[in-house]
Amino acid sequence: MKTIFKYTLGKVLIYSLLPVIFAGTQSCASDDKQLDPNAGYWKDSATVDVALTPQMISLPYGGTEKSVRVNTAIVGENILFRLTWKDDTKDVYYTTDSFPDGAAIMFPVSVDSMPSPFMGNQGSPVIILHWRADWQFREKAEEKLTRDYPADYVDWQLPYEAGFFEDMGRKPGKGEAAVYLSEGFGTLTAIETTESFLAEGIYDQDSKTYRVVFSVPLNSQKFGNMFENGQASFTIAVWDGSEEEVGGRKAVTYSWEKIEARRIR
Amino acid sequence: MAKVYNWQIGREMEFPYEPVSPDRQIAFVFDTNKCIGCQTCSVACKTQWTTGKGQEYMWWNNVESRPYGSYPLAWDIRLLNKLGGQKWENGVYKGKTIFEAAPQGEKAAGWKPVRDDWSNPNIGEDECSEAVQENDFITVPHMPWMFYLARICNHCTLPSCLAVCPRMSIYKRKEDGIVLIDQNRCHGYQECVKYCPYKKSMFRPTTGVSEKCIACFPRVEKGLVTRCVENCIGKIRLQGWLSPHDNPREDNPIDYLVHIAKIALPLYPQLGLMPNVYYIPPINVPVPFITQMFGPGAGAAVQKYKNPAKDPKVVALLMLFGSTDQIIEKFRVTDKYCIGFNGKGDEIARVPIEEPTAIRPSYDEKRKVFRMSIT
Repeated sequence: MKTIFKYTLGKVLIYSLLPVIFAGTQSCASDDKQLDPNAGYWKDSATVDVALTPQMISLPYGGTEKSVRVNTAIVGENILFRLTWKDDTKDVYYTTDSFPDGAAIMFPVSVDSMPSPFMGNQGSPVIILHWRADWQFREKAEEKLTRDYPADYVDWQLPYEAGFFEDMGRKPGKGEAAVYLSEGFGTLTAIETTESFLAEGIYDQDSKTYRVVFSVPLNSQKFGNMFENGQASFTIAVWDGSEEEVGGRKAVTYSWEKIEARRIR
Repeated sequence: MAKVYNWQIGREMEFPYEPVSPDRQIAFVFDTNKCIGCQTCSVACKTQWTTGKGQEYMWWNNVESRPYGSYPLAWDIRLLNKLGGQKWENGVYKGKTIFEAAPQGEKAAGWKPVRDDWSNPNIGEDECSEAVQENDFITVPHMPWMFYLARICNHCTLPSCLAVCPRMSIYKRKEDGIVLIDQNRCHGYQECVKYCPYKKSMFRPTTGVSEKCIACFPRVEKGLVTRCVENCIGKIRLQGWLSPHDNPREDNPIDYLVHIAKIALPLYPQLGLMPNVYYIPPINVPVPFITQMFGPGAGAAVQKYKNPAKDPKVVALLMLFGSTDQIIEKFRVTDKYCIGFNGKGDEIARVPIEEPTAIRPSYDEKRKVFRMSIT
C-alpha cells in the first residue's frame, strides 16, 4: 500500500510539473503570422532556385537530387528564408523503421573569413538551422510513438531516470529550429539560445510540396549581424525520409549560394 | 584507413581510426555448454536498464537457441551472405572483414533491422537443427543438435559502431575499454545499428537517440561484475580483464582461458572487430558450424574441453565461474581448491575443484527403507 501510494504521489507530482517543463521548451516558439509559409508577402521576395545533389564528400554518402526554391525577405527584426521543394511522401516518423523528412540552412558566422561550405572548418564556424517533419508534426509523430511504445514504467521511475526531462526538452517544439554550430564534419554541436531561431513548415498534399520558413534575428546577440545589407550566403540540405536519408545521407549544395533579402515590412 | 593487427584473424586489416589501447580491456568468457537458456540474464538486464518507453523491444542481453534462433532475425546470416566466402588458412583469415567489404559510399558492410526483425527475440527457441527421426534417441551422439548462445555487446577492440558514427558520439573508455554512446551527442542516425554486426546498438524512438549495453559500468567501477554475470543461474559466465595477446598473464583467469588454453574463442572473428566476449564452443555441434561461428580453433577447443584431465587449470577455472559478484583478476590453484582474488589481492572466492562426495549405504537401517540417492 505504501509503495502504491509512493508511485501514485510520484505520478501526480510529475504530471503537475509537466506544464512547467514544456513551457520551458516552448518559450521561444513564435505564434507570429510572419512565419506563415503561404503568406502573401512571399510573392514580393527575392528568389533563387538551387540544385541539390547527393552528399559525396564524407562517408556515408547519400541523398537524392532535388531542386529547391529559396525565397528570402526581411520582416521586422528578422531575416526569413523559405525553402520549397517537391517530395512525394510526407514522412513524419522517426523510428527503427523510418526516418522523417527534413531541411537545414547554413550560414557563415562571420563573412570576413568565409568558411568551408562543407559544414565549416576549424576556426571558421558555421551556424545551422535544422527543421524536421517529426518536430513540426509532433502530435502525429507522438501518437504513433505512444501506440507503438506503450510502456508506462518510465513514469514510475521518474525522477530516478536521469536525463528523461532533458530528453523531452531537447526536441525542438513546433515552430522552433534546432540550432547548431559546426567547424567541419562530425563537429555539429547544439547551442543553447533564448533568441528566436524559428522554423515553420507545411506539406501540401495536392502538390506534394514542402514549404519551410526559417527565421534568423538580423542582429543576433550571440552572433552579431550575419546579414549586412540583407546579403546572405547560405547552403542548404534536404532529407527525404522515405529514401532513408538521415545525417550525412542527404541532398546538398556544394558551394555557397548568394541572395539579397529585401525588407518587405 | 589505418592498418591494425588483428590477432583474432592472424593478420593486419584496415580500420577507419588509429586504434588506441585502453588501460585495460573488459572481457567475458561464456561457457555455452553450461547455458540452460533460462533467460535469467536477459531479465536481470531488462529490469535493470531497459524498462522505459521506447525500450520495450530492447534486449541488451539475449539468449538465442542455435542454429535457428536469432535476435534480431538472422542477424548473422544476413551479414555473412554479404561478406561472401570466409576462408581460413593456417589460422589466418583470407576473406574480407566488414570494413574491407564496404560497398562504395559506405564505411562498412552491414544491414539495418526493421521493427519485425526485433519483434521475435525467442524465435527458434529450443528448436533442433533438424527434425528428430525414429530411433534418433538411441544414437549417440544425437544427430539433431542445438545450443544456447547468450549475447551481450562485445565491447570490441575495433568497434564498428564507433567507426561508422558520423557524429563521433561513440567512444571506448580509456579506463576499461567499455564502449558507450554519448546520449547528448547522438542524433539517432542509426549508422551504429546498421553496422554493428552483432546488432547490439538499438534506436530508442522516444528519445531519438541510440542506446546499447553499457557493461553495467557503474558496477564495474566498484569492482563488481555485470548484472547478467551476477544473475547467471548456470554459472556460465566469467568476467575480467584481457591482456594483450602477446603478453598474457598466466594467473589471469580470462587470459588463461583465451590466450593460453585457447579454449574460449571470439564470436565471428572474421568480421574483424576483435570482440571481447569469448565463448567455449558447444561440444555437441558439428565442427564446421562452430568453426564458422568461432573461428578455426573451435575443433581444438572442444577436444580440450572433452579431455579436462590434460589441463587441470582449465578444470579449476571452470569451477570459478559464477562464484562471486566481484571481478576476479587473479586465480591460484591448489590441490583441492581454485582461489580467486580481486584487484587488491583479497581472496574473494574459493571453490573445490572436485565436489566433496559421501557414499552412503543403499539401505537405511534406522528407517528401514532403501535410499533413493546414496550420494
